[in-house]
Amino acid sequence: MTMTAVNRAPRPSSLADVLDVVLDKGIVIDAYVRVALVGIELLTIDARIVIASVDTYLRFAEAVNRLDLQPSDQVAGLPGLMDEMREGGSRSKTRGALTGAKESAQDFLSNLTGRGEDEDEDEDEDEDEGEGGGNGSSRRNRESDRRAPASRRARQRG
Amino acid sequence: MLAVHGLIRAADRATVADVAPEPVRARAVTRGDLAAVVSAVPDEGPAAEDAVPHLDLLVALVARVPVLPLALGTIARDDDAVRDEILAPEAERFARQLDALQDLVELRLELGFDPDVAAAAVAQDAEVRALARAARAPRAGMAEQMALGEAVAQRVADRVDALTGAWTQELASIAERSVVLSATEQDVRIALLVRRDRVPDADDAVSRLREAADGQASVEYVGPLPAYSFLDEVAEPASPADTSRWGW
Repeated sequence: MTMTAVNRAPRPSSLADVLDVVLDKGIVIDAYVRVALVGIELLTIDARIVIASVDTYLRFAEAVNRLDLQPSDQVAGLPGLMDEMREGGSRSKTRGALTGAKESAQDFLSNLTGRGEDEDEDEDEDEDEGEGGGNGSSRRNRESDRRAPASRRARQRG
Repeated sequence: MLAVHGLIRAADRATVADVAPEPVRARAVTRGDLAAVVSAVPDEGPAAEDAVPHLDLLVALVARVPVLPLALGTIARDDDAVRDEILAPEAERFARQLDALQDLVELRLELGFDPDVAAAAVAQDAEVRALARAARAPRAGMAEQMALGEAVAQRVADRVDALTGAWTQELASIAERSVVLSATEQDVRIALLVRRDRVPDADDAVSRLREAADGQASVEYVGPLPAYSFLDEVAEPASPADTSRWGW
């Protein structure tokens, strides 16, 4: 508790982090006791997470774009990290969470650009095309080339 | 109206007066072997701002004696209601949990990974490079940026997994149990259930973890807290299937 206490905080410093510790945690008494909390807006948290994941993707894209303009030997020298990547556990859990975030992110972007409904329709048609032999109208082909889901487009170009 | 913060053994009730931080004027209401730690609140109950003094009080207590934290916002009319409605109905279970927690506290670790360092570490991946080229193509737009960002985020998440596993190996061997509270490609939050007499060992392990993580991730280390993340399990026998994603 003497030297090492510097290293360890007795509790989280911000109100948000304190709430994260105590909110919805601890023993709940049923019986006659009321559980009452005034002034906490739980609804706002979900919206922030969606925005955060879009922001995360864009920031990563930006970071890599920045790096990629440099000579490759400048970024290759991070020791051991590439090897360690392969040891990761429970990938499926992470992937699942990321997929969810991506869907939310796309919804969010659709809302931003005001193209949500059009885009959804195009995507449905794309999937139908796969079964129907791809004989859609030329307008739709053009449209789907421009707005195809990112993952599919990447595969086409790769 | 009384806010009920937590439960302790009646034998430890003198601790409440010793540690209670202002402005919470906490006292103990006892029944049999159990005591509830209470303080007066307005009739409409506690507000979000009361979270900090509530946790401060429990943290001060758990530094000395075993504490069962109650959900923030638990209130009771008066001392009799505390005895009859909180302490009496489940006295046995609470006593069992307090015994199980006697020598245990919770420590928390939050690793915040630097996104630029992480992106640099995966930038040479072949698929990432291909997506980065696509994102820079003349007619590329938001979709290409998002595809690149997602691919990078996925690899970064794998890297976070691997690094976290390596860095926390020593802590895992010190802790009785551990649980991942949340994990993203930038933050990992872990709760550790640690014996009181091993907290100094955990401190040393975290010092070494800080050195290992230097330049790659920030390390926040908090505790001892009441065993919030392990309340459901402390009174139950350990199950071998009950391990985290890192196989602890």
